[in-house]
Amino acid sequence: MLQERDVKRRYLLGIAVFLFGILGVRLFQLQIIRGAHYFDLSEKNRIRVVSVPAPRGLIYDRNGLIFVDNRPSYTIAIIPFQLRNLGKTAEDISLALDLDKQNVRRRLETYKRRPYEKIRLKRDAGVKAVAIVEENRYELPGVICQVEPRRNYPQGNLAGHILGYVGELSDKEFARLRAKGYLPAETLGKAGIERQYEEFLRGRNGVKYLEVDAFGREIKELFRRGLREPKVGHSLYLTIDSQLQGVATEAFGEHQGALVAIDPRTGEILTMVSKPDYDPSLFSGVLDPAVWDSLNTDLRHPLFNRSIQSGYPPASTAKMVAAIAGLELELVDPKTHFAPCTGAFKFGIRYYGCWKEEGHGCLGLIQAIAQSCDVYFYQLGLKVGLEKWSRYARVLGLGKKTGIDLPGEAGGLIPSAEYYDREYGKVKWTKGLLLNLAIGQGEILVTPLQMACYIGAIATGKLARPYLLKKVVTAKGDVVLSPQPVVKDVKAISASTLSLIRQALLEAVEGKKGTGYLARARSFHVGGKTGTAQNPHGEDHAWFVAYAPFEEPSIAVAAVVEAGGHGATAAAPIVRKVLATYLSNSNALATKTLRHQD
Amino acid sequence: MKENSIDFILLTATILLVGIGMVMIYSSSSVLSEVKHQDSSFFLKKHLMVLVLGTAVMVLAALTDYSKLSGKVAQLLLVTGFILLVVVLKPKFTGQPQMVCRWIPIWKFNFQPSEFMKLALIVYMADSLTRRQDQIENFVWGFLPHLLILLMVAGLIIVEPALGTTVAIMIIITAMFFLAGVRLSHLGGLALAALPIIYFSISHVSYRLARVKAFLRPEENLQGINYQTYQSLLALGSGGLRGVGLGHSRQKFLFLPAPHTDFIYSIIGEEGGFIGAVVVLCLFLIFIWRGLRIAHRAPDLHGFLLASGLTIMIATYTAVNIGVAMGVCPTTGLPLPFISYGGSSLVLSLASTGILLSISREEGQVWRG
Repeated sequence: MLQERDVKRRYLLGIAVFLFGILGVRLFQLQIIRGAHYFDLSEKNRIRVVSVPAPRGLIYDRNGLIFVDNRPSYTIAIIPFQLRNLGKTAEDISLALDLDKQNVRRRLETYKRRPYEKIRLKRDAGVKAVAIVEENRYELPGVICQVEPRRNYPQGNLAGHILGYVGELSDKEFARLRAKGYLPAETLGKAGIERQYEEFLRGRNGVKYLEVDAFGREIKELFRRGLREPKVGHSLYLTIDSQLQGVATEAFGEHQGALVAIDPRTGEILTMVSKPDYDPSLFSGVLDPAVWDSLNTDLRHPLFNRSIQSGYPPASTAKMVAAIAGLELELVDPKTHFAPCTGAFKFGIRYYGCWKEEGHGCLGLIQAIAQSCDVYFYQLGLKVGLEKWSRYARVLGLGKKTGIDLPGEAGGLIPSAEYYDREYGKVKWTKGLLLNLAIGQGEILVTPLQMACYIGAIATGKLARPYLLKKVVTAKGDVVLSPQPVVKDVKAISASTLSLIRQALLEAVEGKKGTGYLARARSFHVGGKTGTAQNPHGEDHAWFVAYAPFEEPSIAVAAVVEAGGHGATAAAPIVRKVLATYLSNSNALATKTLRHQD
Repeated sequence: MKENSIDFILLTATILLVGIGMVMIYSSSSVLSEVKHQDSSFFLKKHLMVLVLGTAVMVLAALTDYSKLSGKVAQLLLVTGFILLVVVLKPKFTGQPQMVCRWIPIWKFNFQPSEFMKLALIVYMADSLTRRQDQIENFVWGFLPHLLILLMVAGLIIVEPALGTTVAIMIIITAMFFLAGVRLSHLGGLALAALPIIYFSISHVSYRLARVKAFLRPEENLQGINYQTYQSLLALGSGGLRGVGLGHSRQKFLFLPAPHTDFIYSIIGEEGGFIGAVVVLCLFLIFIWRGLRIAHRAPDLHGFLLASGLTIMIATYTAVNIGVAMGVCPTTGLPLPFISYGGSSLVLSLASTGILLSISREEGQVWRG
């Protein structure tokens, strides 16, 4: 019996030694043979690469005044990985921060796939919200507060349409841009300059290595791996003159419409106003859906940059097209007189009225432009013909995109025979349409920007491509890029023709019977043209296009005031303010312009 | 019976293991304690309180004659164990069949009836198998009554659910049957009968099946089901030969779940390296060696079975716990005796040492059955 027990004891001890031997061998394999491998894995385990967002570059006006900069702000975010109870935390946090619960939940659920990436719930949180979160750390697991740069607009709404706005990368955009190193929910330029020059403004995110626990919480920063400092984005200088922009915006008052002022010699855009405007800082965080809805459904379309996105009929401001075509094709000369204006013109079985019911009588080309006689231009249009008319309109930059460095530009519409064939069917339209086109009504659509370039081209004989970016500089001030103007001679139009047209434009502003007399200035001469576009929805749209100084033009302006009534009364005074402000500040206002003073 | 001195080697191994346990519980749980309870020594403090109780139980057991753990006392222990197992399962009968019922809260602690039952069953079996020694080779009168009790216990524990503990108890008691002289054919039959039960209790409980599948494919699903094992291997492996140093574990920064209970050996391996891990392994081997030696020298069959059962229990728990940490066993929640945080386990392991020491006092006597 004792012997049997001894055998059994040895047997058991043998099993124990054997089993523990296996464990020992395994231990040896894990720790000695593969130790380095596991050490490496555990290093990765605890080191998290954290991206440090680079502040975006600043945006200045042409004189170095700040349009957009950054300021620190608190962001309240959630790290999904740390959430214990999604529903409860969503409820608690929305209650604490007064956020929409459904919205928060939805955000949290869509980001479940990336549990380590923070989801921003509230940007630019106030001190109170931060205090609430910090006090309730343990009731709100996974909720963090951190400081992030936020876009700041010291000049408020000014130039909001040009600057555009930034926003969080959507899932779709992230899928497209991740190859470029974008992080989920990173800030991205969504409109205007912010979008156009995203590449320059963005900078490069930095990287730091953090030792973290399994919940991704920071234990300490590791320096020995080296870190990459975030690189601030490049700064942009725009061609915009913010003072002029301010004057133009103010001059609009409560009116809707748009105004573009360019330097016709280069194409630099000095001012670009679109009314109504909006506050771009509303967009620099997580956009409140209610705000987005109200901006988006506002019938006045405040998000729309009317200067480049809206097409209006140019009305009488387009009369120079027919005049130039007539002169170039030698169909008329300044002395040519058509049938006198009696207030209307009969074509076929229809009467086409002139704006002046009592009629202009018999006018030459110069006075026909200056007094904007419709009857004269009906007859001239018929002589020129549709094909030639639209060719000259295109020569002057109408009916196609100008190529401005902003996203979303509209091309407008200059109808041609093919267009009408398509719209109405072959031979189903009459020359009556041409009568309307000649006075800038009907199907023709132009943007205010196109009209600024158009009047600039008439003023200088050169068609410039308008642009907003003056230069790109690094944070240290080194110039990275300064785009060169693209200016082309308008070869199709002779100098003599242009000189005649300019005389007419001067007459229109400064002549006894000129329609643009409200644009007259004391210290320089102005060439300009009014326009009053029929508006099926209400009052007429008022147009005014002008350039100055007459002798050596340095600014060309086009303005449209929606439902403003007559071009002369609604739009011309606004343009005059812009011209006067610009030229009184400008060194270009040389003594020679003063010589022409009355 | 002649009074001997107690087995000091066993006692020393126990004290060293408990000491290592104390240090490692503090080291491995400090981060978790801080995060969960804002007190880095929260778990250590509770462990020390239990340790006082456990030491008292050990001393008491060592001073008590082990032969008193027989007859009425053994039966009382078994009945108490059954009552506790039924009490812990109470929620199952009152409409929450899915609830996990392993603990009974007592004051600040959670008492684990299955741990108590494990010990009670060993004590009872040692006594009962001795009493029925003459009929032990008889299936109906010798083997079957013990088998029925074992199956009842296993049944109650498996529904808690605690498959790991159930399997461990089956292994321990089967080994005791073997030592008591149950016919090998009966034991073989038991093993054959147990296989389908174990098979079904794994294949019909999704999380167990998933764990076993995960065990068979250790390189997959590292953030999911294999997360614990993977993190445990990282901890052990990154320890290398000398370890990262006491208190310098990284895996305890919440990467490794249950670093102070089920996976405390991984932290030992990480901080103490191969050397530390082997030292702990050797201490357990010494414990087993001395335990079996005490059994061998026990003055009677009762002492032999009791000492063997207790030693096998410690050995089984140790091997399974360390096996899980090394990824050679599917994940179960068995504690590492003497070392893991967990009141019931510590008190009962120390009680076992106490009983072993008590038996060792009687050793040297040549017992002839």
